[in-house]
Amino acid sequence: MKKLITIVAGVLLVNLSALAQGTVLLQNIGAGLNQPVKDVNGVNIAGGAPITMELLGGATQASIAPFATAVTTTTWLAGGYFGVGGAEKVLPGLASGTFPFFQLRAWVNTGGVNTYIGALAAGQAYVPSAQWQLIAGGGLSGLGNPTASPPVPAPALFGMPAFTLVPVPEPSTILLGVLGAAALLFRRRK
Amino acid sequence: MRTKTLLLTAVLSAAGVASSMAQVYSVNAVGYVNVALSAGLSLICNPLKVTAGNDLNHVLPLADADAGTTVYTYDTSFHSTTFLGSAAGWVPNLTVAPGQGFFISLGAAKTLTFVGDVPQGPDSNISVSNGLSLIASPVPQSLVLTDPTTPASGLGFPADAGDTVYFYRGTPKGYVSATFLPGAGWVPAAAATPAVGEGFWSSKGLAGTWTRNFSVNTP
Repeated sequence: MKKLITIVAGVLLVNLSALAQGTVLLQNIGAGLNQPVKDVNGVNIAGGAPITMELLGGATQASIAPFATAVTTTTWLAGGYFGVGGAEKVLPGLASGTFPFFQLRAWVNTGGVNTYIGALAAGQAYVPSAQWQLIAGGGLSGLGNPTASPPVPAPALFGMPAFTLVPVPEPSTILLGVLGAAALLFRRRK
Repeated sequence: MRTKTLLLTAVLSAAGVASSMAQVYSVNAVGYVNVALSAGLSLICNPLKVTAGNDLNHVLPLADADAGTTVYTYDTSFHSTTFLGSAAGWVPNLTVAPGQGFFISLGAAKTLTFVGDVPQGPDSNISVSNGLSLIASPVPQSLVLTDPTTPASGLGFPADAGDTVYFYRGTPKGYVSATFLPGAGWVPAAAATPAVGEGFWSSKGLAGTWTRNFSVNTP
């Protein structure tokens, strides 16, 4: 009996997650949203920059994670704007009309680097953005619903905080820093 | 000589009258627009003003075979109406004025024919609310939306930074969007160019007036 209940619950969960297909526009400008991405010098990222931006999400802040199929854009317009005019992104596991939590991470995609893990290994990754919760904006309340009748359009990344692309220090740099700190401590003890 | 002068004066006067007559313009432009639609949902508009009323019974008097066709309008929420046959018509009989977008759900592919006047002057100006609204070009023209600073090359939509429009296009249908960036205009421009008879969502930060003051004589 317990086994049957577990199976039924599992099937229900699978079906529910299949139904949960909210949509979003992976772009940092919208009605009431204007959050250009900057580099470490405070300069807006240039149009056509070889940078991939990936969206991570979760129903709660604690569950923010990459999507099974990475949700990314490589389109950059002058002024630090990414993804403008791109297709609506379907977010599996996040229901339409809800306000999930998001985080962005980016990397330089030259040399065929197409994942964040790969970018970390290649020293081409940036520190991820702060996390935030989607808010209502531009008349849109929560994730879009492409399967409703009529369908509800997808919102931009409303609520997105400022995001400056700071390179992740390379392992050798980190090691040097640790060694330096250790040397300082050692000197103080002496 | 006097006779000749009189004759010449008469000819010149007649020519003057004829030329002044030639500059008398028609005030109204009556016509029709065919909009070909596939089965299922489409986001359209009524492109012409119907003198008898812009309600669905006047704008879209369908045949009995089209019973079950449903229209969805939007103000702050959706309102639906269904065509119940030529005797009952649309129940309820919602208004679909030029400049207003609406969804239509058809059981089979069909070409809708809209008949009426081209909106001109104040009739070609509409208010666009902040937030989300379902709208259309108040004039049956297919040009990029542009913005009020460059109306000559487009439709002069009251766009501000970040304003986004959504069209319901493609096979299968889905939304394509364009966002207005000062200096760059609408990105991408192709997704900010309504077809004649096409409606779209407008997501605006600030309310505005879409002022066309359109005239068929000076388009």
